[in-house]
Amino acid sequence: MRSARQWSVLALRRQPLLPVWVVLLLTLAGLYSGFGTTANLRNIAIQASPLIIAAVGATFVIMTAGIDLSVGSILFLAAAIESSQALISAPAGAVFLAIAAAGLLMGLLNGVAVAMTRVPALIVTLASMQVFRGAGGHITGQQNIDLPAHLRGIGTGSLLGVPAPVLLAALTAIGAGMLFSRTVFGRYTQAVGSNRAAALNAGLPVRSVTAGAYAFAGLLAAVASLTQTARLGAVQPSIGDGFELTVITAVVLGGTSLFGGRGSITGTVLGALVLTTAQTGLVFSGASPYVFDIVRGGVLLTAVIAAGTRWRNLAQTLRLPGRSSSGGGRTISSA
Amino acid sequence: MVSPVAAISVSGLSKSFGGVVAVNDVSFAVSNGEVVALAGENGAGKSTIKNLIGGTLRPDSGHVGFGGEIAHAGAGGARHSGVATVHQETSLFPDLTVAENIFIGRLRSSRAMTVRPSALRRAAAPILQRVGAGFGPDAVVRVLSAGQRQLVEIAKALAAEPRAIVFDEPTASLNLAERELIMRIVEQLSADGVAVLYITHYLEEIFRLSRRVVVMRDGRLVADRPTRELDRPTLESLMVGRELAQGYPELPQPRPVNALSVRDLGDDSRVEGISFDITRGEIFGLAGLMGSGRTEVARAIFGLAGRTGRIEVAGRPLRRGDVRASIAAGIAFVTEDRRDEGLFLERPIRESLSIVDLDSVCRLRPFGWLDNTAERHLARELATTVGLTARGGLDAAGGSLSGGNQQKVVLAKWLSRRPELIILDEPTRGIDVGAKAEIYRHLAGLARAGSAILLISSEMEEVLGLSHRVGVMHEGRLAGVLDRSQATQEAVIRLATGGAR
Repeated sequence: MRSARQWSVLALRRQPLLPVWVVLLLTLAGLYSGFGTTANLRNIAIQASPLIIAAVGATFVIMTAGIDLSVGSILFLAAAIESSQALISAPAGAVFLAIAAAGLLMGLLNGVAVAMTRVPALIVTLASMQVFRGAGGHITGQQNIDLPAHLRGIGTGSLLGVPAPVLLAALTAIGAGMLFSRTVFGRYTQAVGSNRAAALNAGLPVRSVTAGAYAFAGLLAAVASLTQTARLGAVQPSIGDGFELTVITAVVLGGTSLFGGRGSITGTVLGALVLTTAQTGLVFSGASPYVFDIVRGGVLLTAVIAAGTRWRNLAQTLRLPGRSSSGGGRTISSA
Repeated sequence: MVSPVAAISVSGLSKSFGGVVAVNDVSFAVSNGEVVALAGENGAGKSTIKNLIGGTLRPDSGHVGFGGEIAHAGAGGARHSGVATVHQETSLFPDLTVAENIFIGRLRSSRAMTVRPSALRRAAAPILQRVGAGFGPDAVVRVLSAGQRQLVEIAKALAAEPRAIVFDEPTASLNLAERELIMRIVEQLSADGVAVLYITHYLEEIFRLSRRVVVMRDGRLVADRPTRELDRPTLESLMVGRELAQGYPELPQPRPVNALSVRDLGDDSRVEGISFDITRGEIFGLAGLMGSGRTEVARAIFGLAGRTGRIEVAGRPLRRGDVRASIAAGIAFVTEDRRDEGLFLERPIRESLSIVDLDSVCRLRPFGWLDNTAERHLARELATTVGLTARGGLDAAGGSLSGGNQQKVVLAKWLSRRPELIILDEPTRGIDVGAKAEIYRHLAGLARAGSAILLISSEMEEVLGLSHRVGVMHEGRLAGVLDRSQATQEAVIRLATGGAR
């Protein structure tokens, strides 16, 4: 019993976002009668899926102390390619593979540029963000293009009652989580972001790791694109517009440091869930869609400020009276 | 001996941070014209005392007085009371001029809110003269050397015409000549009647400058004694709290097999024409003034910088500019700047230890799947080898370790590969005497096990005490190599300053 309690305390300390999300859900369910229904919760999960997938990829980039502003544009260009004449009537498997490859390539382009030049990631991806969106617009001619039924399954189908996007997001999160914490690539990603000079001194393949992180983010942005377009049933010119801001906010809200070296996939998933829940809550409240932009900006700032607060110091300060006497004892004993 | 009213008096001072007691009931005083040294290991509480006197921290209890008055709170209070602080890391603005930096807090030089450069220049000139600066008030700080910047820092302190000055490790990053200049300034200040509190790691400076020594350990004052009553071993044991193993460890006999052979090495900018050999089991010291090219030699050998010339490790030529090839050939590099270049501060200590040899704890090699148990085992083993003291365990963040233990981690991470050659750049800078002795012991042990060791250090005694042979750098060239029997302080300095052998 006690150990279960300790375990949950530990889990809370690692993921302070979990209670935030639960409180948010309960509050919204209390406020709006339709919110707590299974259908709505299922809808939140489906809505959050593309965000989770893209944000998990972005976590790798941000862990290397980089940034990827082109996520939204990769999403759009991938969708545009999917809707192009060459692919729209091809079999689903071939389309998915082609789109995944395209996303990987776009990410790799970012990654190689960041790893090989001294240009900051902010500038590289600010440039590619415009290039990719422009290319996407060129392909679609800024038209709404409907997707055929065989390409929509990934957004609307389900397996054993679990919606396909949710299943895909869960698999992505689990796979990426293992890649992140259980493989040499994941460890190197964290090391490069934590201390690039030390990584170079230890002989790590810093450039390949950096390029790999962006390529992975590009791949997942393309996967997010597939689920998003399939769910909408069409490729719209506005798709992925401002998506990079939501993605970065989700990652940062999840506790990943913008300076690299610290973060987790679980945190990112929770960050995406909190944002989507808040967005759905706003819809229920009848607020205009622009209110979400305000909320998102506020959340980003709050998350960064909260990350800067030394939680451990705060906890110690609160426990100060009991602790200071034992501290005094220590200084005597080591004399 | 002590004038009735002390310029700085500290009484019953205590301060703790989040439950950890940094300073515990400390009292002492510094009189006008007196130099008092504040000594102690890292973490003994010296910096906290400095910050309490400087007013950037407020004491939990006790008080700081200046010339009989109780200090006002805040840094402004200390300045108002005529106390200035010279910080270890210079807090200068690199793109402003020397004069602007000196008067940064009081730039307004006319009645209107404007800055008059000519007035600043006029006011700065005599202060610069007083510290013996070889540069003018219009120089931009960015172009100055570390030593010159320290002079600007001192000039900044003097500009307020203080009655007392606190120096915090003012010579830590300076070369011999610059160090000498700083010490002359301190002597002059004391002769002018200024009270000086001098915080330093260097025992020579304590014995040369101070009239009294205040020793701190674990936040408490353990001694306040006239300097002439102390000798070096006594002072060391006061700082550490126990008798230190005397001197340097016994050096093993080198084996007659070349581990490293360097021929005509250059890096196309700072160093050229460097040739030397190191055999297995040999410790080769590389001495020289700061900026003489020692670090550049190390970085060129390790492949961090481009190079010309030929390098062989265990008889095999080494690819140039390729760190991974160097590591594969058996070279380990313990960098000068462990915090910024050696350690993952916010990651678990375990990860800093295993990072070099992560491949060895993998299952399913091609996928790089980590075996957590094997990794923990490796990290524990390495930590034990170097006697790491990590209170929070190996999963605590690297940044939580003391300087000496961080250095042990940076050394330990290479040891699982049994390196052919270990290059150490300033391995004991800024770490305390106890940890230093341990590092020395490890180096001797590694040499005994057959590794060749290239040791770069600014501490002359350390190089002389640990090396079989000493190479001396002067302006980017190897000025000479001295055998242990020839290597005296004088001989090294002569070569390092360009004198004939």
